[in-house]
Formats: sequence, structure tokens, C-alpha cells
Amino acid sequence: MKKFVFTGLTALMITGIACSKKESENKKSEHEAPGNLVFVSGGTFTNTTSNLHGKRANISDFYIGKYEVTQKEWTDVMQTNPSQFKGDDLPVEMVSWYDCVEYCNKRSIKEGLEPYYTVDKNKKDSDNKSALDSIKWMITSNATANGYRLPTEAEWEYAASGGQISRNYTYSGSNDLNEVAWYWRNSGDTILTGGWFWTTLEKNHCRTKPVGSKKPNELGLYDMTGNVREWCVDWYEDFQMVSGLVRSQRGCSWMGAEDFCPIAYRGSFEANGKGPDQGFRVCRTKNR
Amino acid sequence: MKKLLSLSAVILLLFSACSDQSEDVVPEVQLKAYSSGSNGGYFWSLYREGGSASISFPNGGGNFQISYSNVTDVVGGKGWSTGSSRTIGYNIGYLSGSYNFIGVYGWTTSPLIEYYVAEKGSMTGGTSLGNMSSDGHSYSCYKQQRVNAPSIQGTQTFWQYKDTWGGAPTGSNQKVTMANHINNWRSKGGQGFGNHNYQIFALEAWGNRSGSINATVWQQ
Repeated sequence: MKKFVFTGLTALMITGIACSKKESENKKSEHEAPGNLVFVSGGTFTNTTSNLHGKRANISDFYIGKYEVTQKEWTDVMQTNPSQFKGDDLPVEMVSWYDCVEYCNKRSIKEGLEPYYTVDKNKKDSDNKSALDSIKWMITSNATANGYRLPTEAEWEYAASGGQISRNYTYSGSNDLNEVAWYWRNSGDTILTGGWFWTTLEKNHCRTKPVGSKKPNELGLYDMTGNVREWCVDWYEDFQMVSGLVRSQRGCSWMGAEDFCPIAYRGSFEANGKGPDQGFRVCRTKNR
Repeated sequence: MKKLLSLSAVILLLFSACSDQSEDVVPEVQLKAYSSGSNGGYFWSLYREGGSASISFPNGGGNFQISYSNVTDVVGGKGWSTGSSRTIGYNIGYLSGSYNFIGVYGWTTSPLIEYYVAEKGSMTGGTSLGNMSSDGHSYSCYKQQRVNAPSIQGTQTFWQYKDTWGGAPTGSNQKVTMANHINNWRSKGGQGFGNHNYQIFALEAWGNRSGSINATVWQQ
């Protein structure tokens, strides 16, 4: 009798655990989008290290790429690979902000989605005040479109900081940079110490690494800190820099020093700039 | 009992072998291509490509000695992980062979600036900012924009400031009043000056050069 009761209870427990796991997976799958995107439940910024913590900033639900866009994903859409370091699973790099906008639209069309951006290459953007930007295409957004797009800077920071389930990490997914990020010290042949010298990085063969090869953050996003810096859609603006000169970039890279790796660090670059440490990940708006 | 005696004998032998080692000697550090750390309260770094190079700290404190032979590139020195407008004292006690630059090197962020103050050798190129006087001598000053170039923040477009005197003697105390250079960059450079990152007194040599330097750096 005792054996029966014990076996029965055990069976019930196992069934219960299996059922609740399936239930949570179902809940997850309600919001799961194709193409390796992750659902991000919106809200205010709970991460205490965030620039927008305690502010009224409220992010709507959205989808964001689990990984940085890979070279395979890029080549499948664009039929070229501009990256300096070649590899299917490496993040694409040497892509300007304009290149990323074009990728988003082309991928949307390829997958039967409505392109998010309208790109007029024959018209100069009058808001673009950069003396270094030789492109200055006029680009507008269609907010109701369901196609791929770049994250806003706020969306990027919200997702990197863990959204509503944030554990207040300084870097995306950990307070230990080496756990979650490829950056200048650990992205080469040996671990580097001391001061940042570019020639040191070069000779140590510091470079990009396969996406997803470090720990993810609370939302299951990989390489939000490190690997490649990620373009955001916004003009970068602060009390020293007016809007219209440079676009926002976040997340640090295999090249950057750790001072510039915290989630809250705001980077920027000319929109037509390219580098072997610059890439992106895609977003889509929810319920479109 | 026999086994215990044998073990004791081995232990005794080990102890006697250990006590023969010399102590309180800091060996000259032979490095691989790049290494760094902290010595005497100062941050130090050495990078080498090609040939050979070594760094040691014979006199502790801000003292360092670099010997290099037939290097494709060598950069090394001692300083601070956070720069400032400090007055940097230095004494190049010994210098032989050939080099390209000896002086102060560092970075700022917001804006991103890479800077050189050449006490020996020279760093020029770019747009002239004219001359400035500091510490009893005249510097020729240049600025140059680096576009899509590597930096401590990753690939960026940023400005370099390069001030050259080049006439520093060996064997006597000299100083670099960084406040003068920084004020000049702020007022004449036109590109601003940001928050300090690291700042070192360094030697750089390239092109199969060989040589040796023993120098000491301190904050006045």
C-alpha cells in the first residue's frame, strides 16, 4: 500500500511538473516570433543601472533578435558579405546604418512582410547635419508596418537591461563582463592585460566571435554587450552633441575597452561609418 | 618504520634544496609580445612586434627599463590608469640606440581624443595649431583627424593632438605640465577635450630599431 501511494504521488508530481513546463512553453510560444526573434514584454525600466530607471519612459511590447545578424543571414538577403572577419555564424560587420536599413527592407520583402522604411536615395535628409556623411538618404518610417527594423535606443537599452525580469546587471546578463561579452581583453589569442594599444589587439588577433557563444541575458538575448556594436535607429543626442550628426550605437564590441561596455553607456557613429566591430540586430513591432 | 625514515629523508632533502635559493631578488621580466601590470604604484605596459624586447623595474617606484632589438614595433612605459592635468616629472637616465617617440601618451572620451606630447623624437602630421611654450621650451602643435579608425571605444572618427618639443636631455629631471597642453588643446584645438582615460610616459620605436631606455616618471 505504501509503495502504491508513494509511486502514485511521484507519478502525479512528475505529471504536474511536465504539465506546468508545457504550459509555460505554451505561454512563451504565444509570443514567439519566427526568425530567431524574442518577445520582449514592455513596461518601465526596472534595471537600476539604466539611464531611464525611475523615469517615465515606457516601452511597448516588441520583438528583438536573439542574436546579432549573422553573415549567413546577411548574405541570404543581400547576396554580398562586407565583413572583415568571415564566418557564417559570425556577426556581420562593416555595415553602415544605411546598409542595415536596406537589409531590414529587403528581408521584409523576402519574407512577405511590409517594409518598415521608405528610402529615398535621391533626396537629402535636411535633418542630417553631418559633414562626414556623404549619403544622407531621406528615410522615413511606416509605424504600422510589420517588417523588420532597427531598435530604438530606448528599446535596445530596455532589452539589454533585462526588461521586466531584470536582475540589475551592469552588463547585459551579468556583472562579470567575461561571462557575457567578447571585448578587447578576451577576444583574441590570449587574455590581454594593462593598457589598450591598437597594435596589441591586432597582433593578438582580436576579432568577432560566433554569435551566442557567451551567456545570454535575462530575456535570452546573446551578445547585447560585446562582439559587435549595434546600430539603433535614433539620432544620438546629449548636452554636448546636437541631433543630426551621428546615429546611436550601443553595446560595445570585441575592440572596445571595458569602460564602454556597461548597458548604460551610449555610443554613436556617423551613419555612413563602417568598422569591423559594428553590426546590428533586428526588431519587429508586436501585433502587426 | 623504514618507510617513515625514507619519507623524512626526502622531506629533509627538499627543504635543504629550497633554502639554497636566493631571495629578495626581482628577476628581470622577460615578456611575451605584450604584457602589463602594476609596479611601484604605477601602471605599466609593454607591447612588442618582431625582434625582442624586455621591461624591468630596477629601482622600483616610477622607474622602468626597456631594452629592444630589431623590433618591428615596440611601445612601452609607465604611468596612470586615469590621466589628469598633472605635472609629469621624468628623468631619462639612460638612452641608447634609436627610437621614434618618447613622451606622454593618452586618451580622453567625450570627445574621443588621442594625444601625444613628444619630449624626444617627434609626432607631426595633420593641421598645424602653431606653437606653444611650456616648461621652458617651445612645442610645435598639430591636430589630425582619424576617420573610421580603431580606438579604445572601437572604430570611430576622432581627433589626435600631437605636440612636439623633442629636445629633452638625458640624465636630468624634466617635466611636462599637462595643464598647459590641455588648455592649449581646449582653446586652439577646436575639437574639445574629454574625460581622461589612461596616461603614460612611453617610448615607441618601429622599423627594425634597437635600443635601450632607463627612465623614471613621477607626479610633481
